[in-house]
Amino acid sequence: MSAKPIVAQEVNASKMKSTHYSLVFMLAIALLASCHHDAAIQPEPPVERVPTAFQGVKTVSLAGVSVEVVIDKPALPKVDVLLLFHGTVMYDSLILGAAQNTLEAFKRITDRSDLMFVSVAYPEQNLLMGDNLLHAEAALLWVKNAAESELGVEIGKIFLAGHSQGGYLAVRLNHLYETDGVVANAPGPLNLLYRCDLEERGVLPSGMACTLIRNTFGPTTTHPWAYHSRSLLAFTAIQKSPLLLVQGMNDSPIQMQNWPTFKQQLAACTACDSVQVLELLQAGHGALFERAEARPVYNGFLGR
Amino acid sequence: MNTYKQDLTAHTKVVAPPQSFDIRVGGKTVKLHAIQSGEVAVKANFYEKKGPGPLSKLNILLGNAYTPYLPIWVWVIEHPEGSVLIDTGERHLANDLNKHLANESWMLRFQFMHAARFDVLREQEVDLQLKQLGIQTADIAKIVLTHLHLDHTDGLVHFPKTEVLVSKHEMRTAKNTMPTTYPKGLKMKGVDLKCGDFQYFNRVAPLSASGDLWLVETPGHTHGHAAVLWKTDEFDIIFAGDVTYDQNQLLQGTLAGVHSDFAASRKTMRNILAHASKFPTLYLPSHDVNALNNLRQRRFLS
Repeated sequence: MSAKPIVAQEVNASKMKSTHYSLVFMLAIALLASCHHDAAIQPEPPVERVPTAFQGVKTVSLAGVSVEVVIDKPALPKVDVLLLFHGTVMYDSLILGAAQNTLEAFKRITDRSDLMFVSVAYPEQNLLMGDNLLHAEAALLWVKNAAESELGVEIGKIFLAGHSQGGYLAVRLNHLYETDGVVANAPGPLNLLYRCDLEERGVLPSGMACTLIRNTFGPTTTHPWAYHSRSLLAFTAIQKSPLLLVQGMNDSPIQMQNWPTFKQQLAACTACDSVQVLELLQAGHGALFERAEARPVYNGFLGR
Repeated sequence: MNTYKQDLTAHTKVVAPPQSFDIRVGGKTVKLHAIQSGEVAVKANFYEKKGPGPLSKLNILLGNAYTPYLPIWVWVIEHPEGSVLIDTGERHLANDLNKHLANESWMLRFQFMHAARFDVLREQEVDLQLKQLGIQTADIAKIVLTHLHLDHTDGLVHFPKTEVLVSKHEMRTAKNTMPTTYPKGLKMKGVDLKCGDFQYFNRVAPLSASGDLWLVETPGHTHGHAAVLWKTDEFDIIFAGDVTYDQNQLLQGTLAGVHSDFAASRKTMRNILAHASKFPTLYLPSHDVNALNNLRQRRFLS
């Protein structure tokens, strides 16, 4: 009983061996044939990737900081980028909508069709003014370092633009990073010390920005630097890229109170790139989007 | 007597860029950069000891008064053997300590939140200020920590791959550290301080092959606290960490309430003054509002 299976195994093994050899032989012939066949084929022309348009929301991350961006990419293999920052909203549930609206508002006034718009839905709720710079920074570094590979597009120039608090963030980013230019419409807050002092004295109703600073650092008299250092006036010593500032001269009294100082400090800045200022009479907070004469200046700046 | 009266001129109208100084070492000019990584206000009883022994610790919690906001200095030496960073400063996340220390024990968080308040902008963090100087974080050859308190270690997160040196005794004995704020994979190396050539510092360790840079034992603020002594061609510089919070405290022998060992603090302060009586010495504590003026105007301790 015990010998039979052994014999059977030997027979099977020798059968397997011969099958094995024939398989190797056939494979070798097939390989040789295929090599010969390959050599005869002409090299294929490189496949050109068809650039596709893309509209959608993407989450980008940098060193543990995530932020959603709304992207509008044209069907082109190479684009310049306009990185956008929205203005203040009351709740973070509204920031994605604000980013979308900002993208559309800038797109409406932009003549160039070879721009990719990336609008950053940065958070605001319960954050000290400017602490969302981390999110703005994450979006900018994503555009600089990762967007090309992730979106399959070649990126040329990078511009930043923002409205109101978005302009504030764009200017603060320009204090840190070089790009090809920054457009800020009615950037602010320009002077939180002034504004929050008015709030403390009951001249103005309390706002979220001042309340948060006051709750964290005390009133303006206790630690004025906490207010001043979060104001745009404190970032006028360095501006790394060309800056276009658009300001409606019928903006809020607080903005207009501090605008001349802001402009003056930037004019006196020795470590700043070029600063172009467009002041529009009888225009309000949304001057860049409302006034026709702003459009050629804005488009000229982006066409540089 | 309180010596922390705020120097209002230290607050310029703009967010100040890092300040640079030329120092002569080995016949060559070496750059020393001062980075202000935000500000900290501490309880008055934390800054200056009130009451005897353990009661002084209780008084920190019981007191309500805070000092004005004081700078948090980080120093960078563009040393010929490789750039050295002394302490790493604070991050803007520390403005909200409850959130920033959420993963630390509640006791530690409670103590800290009732002792210190930070005001830091993202722009003031060490990585971005190094960038302003044209130095990448990867260009830093080594980081030397005077001790392991948060305002000296929080910037470590920007240097996950850089060699970090701290006195071995500090590594063994440090309390109130915040390891959840360290970067993942951080390799902190304990430096063994040994009896050395410096008359007034019991134990030292070389930080450079050329023998100009030393880690010197300065216990008191923490048990393993160590300062960095830089012997330049013209004078010595002591990057003092938190031996005292400013030069006046050293000159007046004022103890801080937060010191771990008051007797050791007194001895360290005497040693530094003795060293300064023998060698012209610039004394640069981590929170001195006058540190840059002292450095600029060569105001020696002696």
